[in-house]
Amino acid sequence: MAECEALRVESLSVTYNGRTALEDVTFSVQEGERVAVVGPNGAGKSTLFRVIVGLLVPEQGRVEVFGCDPFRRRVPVGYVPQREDVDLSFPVTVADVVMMGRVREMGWLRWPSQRDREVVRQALEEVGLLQLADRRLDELSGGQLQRTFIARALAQQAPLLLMDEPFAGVDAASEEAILELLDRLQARGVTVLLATHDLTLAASRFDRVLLLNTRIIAYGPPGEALCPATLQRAYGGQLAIWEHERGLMLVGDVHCSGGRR
Amino acid sequence: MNWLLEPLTYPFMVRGLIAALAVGVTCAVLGTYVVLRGMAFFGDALAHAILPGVAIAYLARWPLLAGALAAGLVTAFAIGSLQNRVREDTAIGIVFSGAFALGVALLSTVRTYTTDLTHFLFGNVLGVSPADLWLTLALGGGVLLVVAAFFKEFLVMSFDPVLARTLRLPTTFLRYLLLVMLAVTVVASLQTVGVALVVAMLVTPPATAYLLTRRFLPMMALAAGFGLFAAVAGLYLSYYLNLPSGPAMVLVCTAVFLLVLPFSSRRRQILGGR
Ligand SMILES: Nc1ncnc2c1ncn2[C@@H]1O[C@H](COP(=O)(O)OP(=O)(O)OP(=O)(O)O)[C@@H](O)[C@H]1O
Ligand SMILES: [Mg+2]
Repeated sequence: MAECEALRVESLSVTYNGRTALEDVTFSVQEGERVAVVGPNGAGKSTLFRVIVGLLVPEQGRVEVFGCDPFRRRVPVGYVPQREDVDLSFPVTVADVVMMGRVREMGWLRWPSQRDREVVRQALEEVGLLQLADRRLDELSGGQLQRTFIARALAQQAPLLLMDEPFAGVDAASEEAILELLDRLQARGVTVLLATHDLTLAASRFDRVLLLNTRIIAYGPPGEALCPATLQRAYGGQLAIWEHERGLMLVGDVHCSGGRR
Repeated sequence: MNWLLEPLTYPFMVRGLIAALAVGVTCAVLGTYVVLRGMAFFGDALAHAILPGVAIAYLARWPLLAGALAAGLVTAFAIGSLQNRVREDTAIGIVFSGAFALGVALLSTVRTYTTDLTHFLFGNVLGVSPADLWLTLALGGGVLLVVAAFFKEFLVMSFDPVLARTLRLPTTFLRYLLLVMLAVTVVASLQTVGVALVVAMLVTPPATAYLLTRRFLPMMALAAGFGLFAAVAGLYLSYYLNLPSGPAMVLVCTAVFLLVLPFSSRRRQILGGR
């Protein structure tokens, strides 16, 4: 069975008021792959996600999601933003918010069916929030809130899921739970792009790493994409700090240029 | 019991009551979005901006509600298209005061200026003709149908516009639809509440309901209940104390809000304190 392309990005460039955020970005992701998007602050990770999900129109280049333009696509794309800019005192419960992920699937003029409720229940269970389903958002901790939005993206049952730093503010146990969730999603053939600053995580739990700093610095299996040379180019002076903390164990035995095994 | 039934022996009072009930419910239902989306100032502006339309229709002897509807729709689209360009409250302030001034100036050319202006500003529920009543019911019913039809889409739009866009909902269409419904609701309320006070009917019942509920649909339903109560109680107040109907209904709304306020844990959120 020929593998299908879930995402194709071609010569993508994005500028904000004349300042370049992404330049000439080209890569593609096969269906079912798990890709970590890494790079320093301001590298354009969030911008890339916003283009893929169709929130931002690129000046140049093309994006195809399962062969479709993001603006005309039929397939849902799940998106967990880096920061949810919502009114937390809005009168909705956790379950209501997750149900919002179903709105497109339900279709016009429909109310939630038994099946929709079941999907919401499952999504809540997968992120461990079933007990908090009836809480309001202003009664949640930051990490619980983040998991609510992950559950909402899951409820879309999208074949492509974009998660922008989902581990920020999430404790170690929940992080591990989400990573296990990603394993289950992968078993179902869901393609995941996940932005993170945790290079160890990117190296250990992902099929591919997209190292970004306005341009693509490297893209490939973690062993090839993350090495001192590429990291130096992506992070510049920041690299030293990183190497002191935990980087050495990551790059110690990998050589980049001829590193194809 | 008699004091309850006596006003209803007059057909104009019955018509007024039905119109007030329709307005109470429609305003409260749509007002739930107005409160949660922070559109109160917008609603007020829209209400004032239909005055020139009413004035022109009045001078030209066209049906008043038709003039109001035309003006309301024009304003809704004007503000809707300005929304993304100028700071919203500034844009609204410009359109709103300009249009209101024009309306007052036009009406001042008529001899019976003060009475007419008072009716438009504060409502004249006793002047509801059978034709007016049908139109009010049709407009109010139309708004309620649209809300029911797009209920979950409006909820997503109001809570999280970014999600609405990633779900590929037609957000521009829905936004304008909401503005148009707001204009229609204001026009339907013209005769019972008047343009100066309609924002209170839009905002106060949902704000009261917000204090008492945790979820969206109960908030909307409770708001509709408060709206109905304000309509009935306001109309009787207006009948027995000889008050204009608009202020009477609004005073009931405000009284209920103040009554509920001490019992709510959420008063901080709605009054904006910390
Ligand atoms: N709405 C905006 N308007 C103007 N400039 C923006 C906007 N959003 C992002 N930028 C700029 O574009 C660049 C890329 O930003 P982006 O948010 O994509 O980075 P990021 O990789 O997600 O960073 P972080 O790790 O801090 O989340 C940055 O230089 C940022 O200042
Ligand atoms: Mg970011």
